[in-house]
Amino acid sequence: MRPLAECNRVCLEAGTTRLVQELTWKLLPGECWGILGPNGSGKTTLLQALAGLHPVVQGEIRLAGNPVEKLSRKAIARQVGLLFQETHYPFPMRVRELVRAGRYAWQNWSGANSDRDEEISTRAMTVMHLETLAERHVNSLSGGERRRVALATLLSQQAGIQLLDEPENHLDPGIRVKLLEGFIDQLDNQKQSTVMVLHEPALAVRLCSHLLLLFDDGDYLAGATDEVATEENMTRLYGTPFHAVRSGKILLFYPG
Amino acid sequence: MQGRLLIPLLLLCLLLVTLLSLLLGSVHLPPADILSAILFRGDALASEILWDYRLPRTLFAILIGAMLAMAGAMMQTLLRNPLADPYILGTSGGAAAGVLAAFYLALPAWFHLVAAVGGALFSTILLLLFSGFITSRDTNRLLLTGIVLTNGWGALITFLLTLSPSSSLPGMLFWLVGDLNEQASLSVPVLVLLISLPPLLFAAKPLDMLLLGRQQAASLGVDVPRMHLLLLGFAILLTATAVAFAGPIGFVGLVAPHIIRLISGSGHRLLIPATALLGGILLVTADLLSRTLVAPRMMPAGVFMTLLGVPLFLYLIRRQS
Repeated sequence: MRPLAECNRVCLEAGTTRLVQELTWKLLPGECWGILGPNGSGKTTLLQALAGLHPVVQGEIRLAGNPVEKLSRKAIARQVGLLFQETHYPFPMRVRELVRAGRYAWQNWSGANSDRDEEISTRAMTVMHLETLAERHVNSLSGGERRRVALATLLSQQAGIQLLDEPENHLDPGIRVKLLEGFIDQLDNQKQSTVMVLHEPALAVRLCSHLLLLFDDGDYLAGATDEVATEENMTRLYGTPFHAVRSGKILLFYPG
Repeated sequence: MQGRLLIPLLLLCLLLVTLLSLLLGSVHLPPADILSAILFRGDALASEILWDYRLPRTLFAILIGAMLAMAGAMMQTLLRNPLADPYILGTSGGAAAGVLAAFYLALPAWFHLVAAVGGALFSTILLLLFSGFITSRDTNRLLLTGIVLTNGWGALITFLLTLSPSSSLPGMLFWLVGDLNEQASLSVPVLVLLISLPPLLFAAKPLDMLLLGRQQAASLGVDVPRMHLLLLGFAILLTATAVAFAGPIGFVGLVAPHIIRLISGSGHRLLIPATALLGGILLVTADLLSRTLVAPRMMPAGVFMTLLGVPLFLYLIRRQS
């Protein structure tokens, strides 16, 4: 299968801080990757680089075979969608309008909404349980509701790659897993995949088929979740001893 | 409110204040004389006042108001801040200093516009550099930078006025507080407005998305640098033209977009034309007040606009913090 995204010996920097070094990695359709790492290891920067929003110091990122810096913003947006850590809306905007904005990359110069755009964005709102909030202004919503609006916008974008930066932010513990599983279920396994930055190893183990660990020193480890999620690797990753407990399908890591 | 209702309503208001502006003034004309002047240039005095003074002046006020209001809306989208306004952030001041320098050097009248564009451009570049527009979205830093620039231009303007011969001072001073009395030809403002409207309306959708933030808009497929250039270019052109022709009139760019956003939201397809219409209405009204309230004296229209804008600005600051 052709990879949706490839990194070839990619090095990233934020300011003068060296982050990921020589990352070589492939993303195939149907995969769900979790990125774990301590603060400042470059998780967010890597997502932004994949979306063409952060420059690569060395190496190359390709989307469906094309170097990302050669693609137009619209072409990138058809292949990569990004859920940001935090969102901020200084002007009033309705939920329906915001979710519809996800369709922009697929529209022609006039930016007119087709029936299909309408259908897709309505469906995305249903999946994220936003029907009753459609006419509300985003500024008036709670943090968790805004998060669901952002996820719905991403769904309506129908990009090949869904990049989620700490998607669990602001979501109630009760619906967190269900909502994110619902999101992943909506994707087409033949054409789409997900990459999410997470803080909680247990959540990554539960949701992701693969894990990418970004260590402090720029080193990395990538592989199937079963192989990578070990006490030893978590201990090295966070610099403090970690222990694992298993309960059925759930694998929990705790420090100490 | 829906667009199909808002625009006709604004057009109606504009027609109404235009009629009032034609009917009222420091010279009292009976409505019958005005009617005959409009229909068949009857009464000679009424005809002259109407066709040579009140009508051009009213049209001029509509154009300047529309340009300033649009410039305000552009700046607010560019900086993602409802408090942004070319007058408060020093763009008008830069343009004004440019025009006064041209006055002082006795350059030809057509050069005033070039000088205004130069001053506005320079001031806006300073604003973007020092407010950290590239890296921060700190409102305080933006407003402080704007205040400092405005003060700097103010000092430069005083300096130029002090050096100028006393014979040209009253004209310069009146121009400075927003004077619609000495209107030049209408053709340049009309042209600038006609050039600005289509590209801005054309880009309405990506402009809406810019309000989500630079990174978010880019991730949805918007060519952000191109949109910023569009906004910056037209905000500067519109401000500079308005200032070159009518002096730095403040707060139209703050008040008009704010009211339209309250009524119909932030969608640019409606915001741009509606803001332009409301800007025209506001400035014609301000001009009408300035001509009638203290008649037979005349006050610069900018005075009334500022008196309206200051309380709104204070209210917005209070609500933001």
